[in-house]
Amino acid sequence: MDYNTLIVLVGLVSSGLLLGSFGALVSLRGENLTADVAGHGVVSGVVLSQGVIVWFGLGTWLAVPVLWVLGFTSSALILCFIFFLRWRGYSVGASQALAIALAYGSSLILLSIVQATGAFSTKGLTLLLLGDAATLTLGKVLPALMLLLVWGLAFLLLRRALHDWVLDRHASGLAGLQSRLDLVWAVATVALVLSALPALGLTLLVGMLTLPALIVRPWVTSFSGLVLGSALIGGVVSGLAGWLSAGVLPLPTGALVVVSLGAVWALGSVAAGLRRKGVPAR
Amino acid sequence: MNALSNLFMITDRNVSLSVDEAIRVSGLRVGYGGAPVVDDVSFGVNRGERLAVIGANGAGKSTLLKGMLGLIRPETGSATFLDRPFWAVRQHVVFVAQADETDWDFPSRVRDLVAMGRGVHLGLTGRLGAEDWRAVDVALERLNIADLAARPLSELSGGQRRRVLLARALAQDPQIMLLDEPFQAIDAATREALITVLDDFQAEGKTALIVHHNLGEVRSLFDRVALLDGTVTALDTPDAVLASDAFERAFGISAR
Repeated sequence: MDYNTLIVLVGLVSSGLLLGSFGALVSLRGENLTADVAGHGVVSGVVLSQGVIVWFGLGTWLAVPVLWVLGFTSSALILCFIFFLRWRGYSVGASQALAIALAYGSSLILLSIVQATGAFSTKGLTLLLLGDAATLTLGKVLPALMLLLVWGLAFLLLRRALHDWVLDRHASGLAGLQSRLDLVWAVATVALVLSALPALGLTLLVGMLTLPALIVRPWVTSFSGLVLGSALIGGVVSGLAGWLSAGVLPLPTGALVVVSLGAVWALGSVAAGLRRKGVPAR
Repeated sequence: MNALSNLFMITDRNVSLSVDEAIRVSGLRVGYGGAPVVDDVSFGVNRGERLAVIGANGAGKSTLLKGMLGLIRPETGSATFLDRPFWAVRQHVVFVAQADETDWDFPSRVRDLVAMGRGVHLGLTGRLGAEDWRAVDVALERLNIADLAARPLSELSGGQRRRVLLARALAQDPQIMLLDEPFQAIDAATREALITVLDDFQAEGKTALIVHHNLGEVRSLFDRVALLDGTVTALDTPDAVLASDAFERAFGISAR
């Protein structure tokens, strides 16, 4: 196995572990669309970062940091918009729909501006939407690895609090957990989206967040089991799909990962149905 | 201050538990953006007392409790518990809502849900110790659901869910309980278990404020009754409130 393939596999496995485990919480909270909103919110920042780098003649070594800062900022603004709408009494669904519309609209406007100056190519847009694991470098994989380490430590430290916070928002709010974990959650969601974009792209991100938890849910009755099981499924399937894409099947890696997860989910659903076991995931 | 206290989990660790008045509500006005649902509500609950809040549908009983706890921001007025705002003494106050927001399909078991009651004592990173699990097991036994400890949440009946939520409240070991219609839609066994719990709670010198719907039971269950009709229109012994003109105005019937 050559170095580049190893880097790609490390990137895919770490993204799979991250997205799988994080996605378990996202699914339990019923916030799959919010994660999608965060993803779309990143687009404006990413598009703008391409323009900034070209307009100001910044060195390519600044590409990743600028992308992170602007992507983070734009996604955070969109999430703040959701919180504002929820505070104003809008339902979860309406808030998410309006936020996605705002994210799309602003990213299209920015894209037009940036493309008009020749600073953003169609290929760049395709990479943003679909990702390209084959182009992963150590620099692009490092954020995911670091985030995986931080998330793993955070989960060990906050497992009980996360359990309570997801299980019953009302009670956890009365216990004083809500505000702090909401803030950590928002930051983590945006960081996760940014770290996973290079490998999987925006379009496939929600699938990666949702499918591992859907696969595992009928088979577990514990919170930790769901989170760790989702991580394992996400990591293993991503790694296998990456290995297949590198050698055996010349297909886009991200799409192969999500299709593979879909197949595992379908088989698992049949098996769970046959055993009449567990609760269908929402 | 409330938002900051939530963010940094500030609670007052030096609260005096021997205050005479466990709850004090002063001039509370709570609404949902339009006309207030409850206005100018003022009353106190003595330590060790069991007070019922009664009223017709829409009188604002649940809104009052939520306003007292800051779940709905009051427009004016205040509510204190043990002479402190709620956020400073949340470890000593527990609230069991009428409609819970628990995800009963969550992959967890009864014992873990009841253990949530200990979270307010542990903060964000604290771990459950032997003392905490002991409190959980005692709470399960008091509600006669120790045999359900290992059962997945998704397999509980409605009555069992109610008992589990009450066990969670007990596991917190509070000084003050606020219960919103705890006797509604429960079976006889659960009702008896709840009454025993409330009797023991009061015997320990602790305070309960309970929204109650069954007017026929208030005489036997409560020390005093507060009649809510947009504001507190009567606050006295059960016999006095049920015989009052305010009661007749609120319900359109006479209980004399």
